[in-house]
Amino acid sequence: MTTPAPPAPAGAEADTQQPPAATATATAPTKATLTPLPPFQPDLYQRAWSSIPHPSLPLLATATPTPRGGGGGGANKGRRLGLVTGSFDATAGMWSYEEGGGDKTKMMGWRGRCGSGGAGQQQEIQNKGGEGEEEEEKEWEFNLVLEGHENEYLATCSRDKSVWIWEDVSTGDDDDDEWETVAVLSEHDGDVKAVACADVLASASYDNTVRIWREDADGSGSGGNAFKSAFGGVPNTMRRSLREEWDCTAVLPKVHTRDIYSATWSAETGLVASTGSDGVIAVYAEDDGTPEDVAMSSPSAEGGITENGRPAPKSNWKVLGTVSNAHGPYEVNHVTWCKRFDAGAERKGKEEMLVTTGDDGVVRPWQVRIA
Amino acid sequence: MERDLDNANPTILSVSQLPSRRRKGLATRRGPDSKCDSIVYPKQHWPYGSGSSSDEDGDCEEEPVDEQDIYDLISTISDPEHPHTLGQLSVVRLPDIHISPSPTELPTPDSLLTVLVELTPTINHCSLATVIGLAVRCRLEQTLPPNYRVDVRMKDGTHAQDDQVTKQLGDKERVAAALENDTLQRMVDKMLETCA
Repeated sequence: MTTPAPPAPAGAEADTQQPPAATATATAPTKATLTPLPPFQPDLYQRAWSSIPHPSLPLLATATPTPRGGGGGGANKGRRLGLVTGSFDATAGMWSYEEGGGDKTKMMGWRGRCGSGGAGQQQEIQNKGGEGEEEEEKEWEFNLVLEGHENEYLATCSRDKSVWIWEDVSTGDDDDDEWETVAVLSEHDGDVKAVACADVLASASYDNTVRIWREDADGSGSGGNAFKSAFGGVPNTMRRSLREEWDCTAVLPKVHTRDIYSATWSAETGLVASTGSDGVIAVYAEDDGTPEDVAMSSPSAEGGITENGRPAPKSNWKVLGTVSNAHGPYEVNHVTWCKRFDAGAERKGKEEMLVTTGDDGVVRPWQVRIA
Repeated sequence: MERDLDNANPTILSVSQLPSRRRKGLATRRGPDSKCDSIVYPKQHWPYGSGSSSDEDGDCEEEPVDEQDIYDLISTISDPEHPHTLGQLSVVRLPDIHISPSPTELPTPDSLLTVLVELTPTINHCSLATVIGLAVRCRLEQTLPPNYRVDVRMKDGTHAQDDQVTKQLGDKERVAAALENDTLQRMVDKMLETCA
């Protein structure tokens, strides 16, 4: 492998900084045209699993396999420009960027469970705390980590069928980064493949279920405070929401011919994009949705699984546009909406593009024109 | 192997019984008279199945791939517990290999082709079915061009947990993770030794 980058390559796209803005385009879209923009450089020359944009800064992190251990996924943790990664080597790594200095951003060292100790501000998170023995190490892999609400909590999911919730207990001193396990959710019968946080925590598993988790406070907390009040220093208080009924309100039109690997929802526009093994990118919009339907954007992370408690009407979705062979003959592993900061953007920091990550090791941005 | 074999007495086909490309009448086929009796070396025009690794990157556009080519690629994989190939053990069977659409009908070179391989484990509780499937998938992904999508399944009813095994073999992340496991990787490498 000829990847120039060290353990976990981070393709950092840095342009001018712009504050993020949130204005929704309210006109009902009928068509989306996707135009490829120049791929990010350098090529990774190996399979890349996913790319995660920073919520507000022009930064993008891409996960690829490394010489030892593979990148499973990454997520940005906004407050201190941290990056959290999950890996096949059964570790979740936390990365910090150092601001200022010569470079705009610089990746500090990383300490993985099997890796050598690195300097810098980072935190090692092991599966099963200290209990994971050497021989068990290879059986459990963290797949994906996502930032928790308010950036104080972190949820990791693993092949050992569990979801762990971590709390940032650092004192605020930048050199002191400390995380504690505050809850372990272990109701899934299979590998937990992904977690997503919004008002609730959703976990998707190999056991063919998605479970929704909520605080154990009988509904007293709501919205953004859910996680905060859920933990409050008392561990193991997360539990499955038993009283809730979740309805499937829509099934998106069938576009893909093979497995779908990734879907992303834009809090900005309400559009959904998906991609997968067939190399097709599809963009969908809710058809004739009332404005509230589109603008109903809870402070959700990507995924958009957040219509809790609301008797959502059945909705119709339509395909706005598709692109075939988005990465040539290769599979596309991930798609995400990402704010544009480059010179070609019409509304810098507001306009959204799609970023796809493929087996060809190319991370490709797409201009999306909505008509 | 130290442990008991899952299937101590498998049915073994002799090399001459295995399906081969006689119909195309291509010369230079080196078959049953090969010096390695237990290993099939079907020397075909197909660059990937042949002995020289320098052909590995050769372009494949000249001649469309057919089911026999796929068979030749994977039937020579060794069984993890018997000194025979998957072809000899009938784990891989030519009628259970399907390519769609036909490679001759591709509109563009990037158009996708699906190769479906259904495996028949020697006994229905073979614990090594997953590893065999992994090796087959691995072999095909390494040798076929990137526009080929490989689906490896257990043939319905041939394995006690065929659904589970099929599901695992279809899980890209699991396959990638498995191949980063040193033990599994060594096992697969050993099975593929007889292919090159």
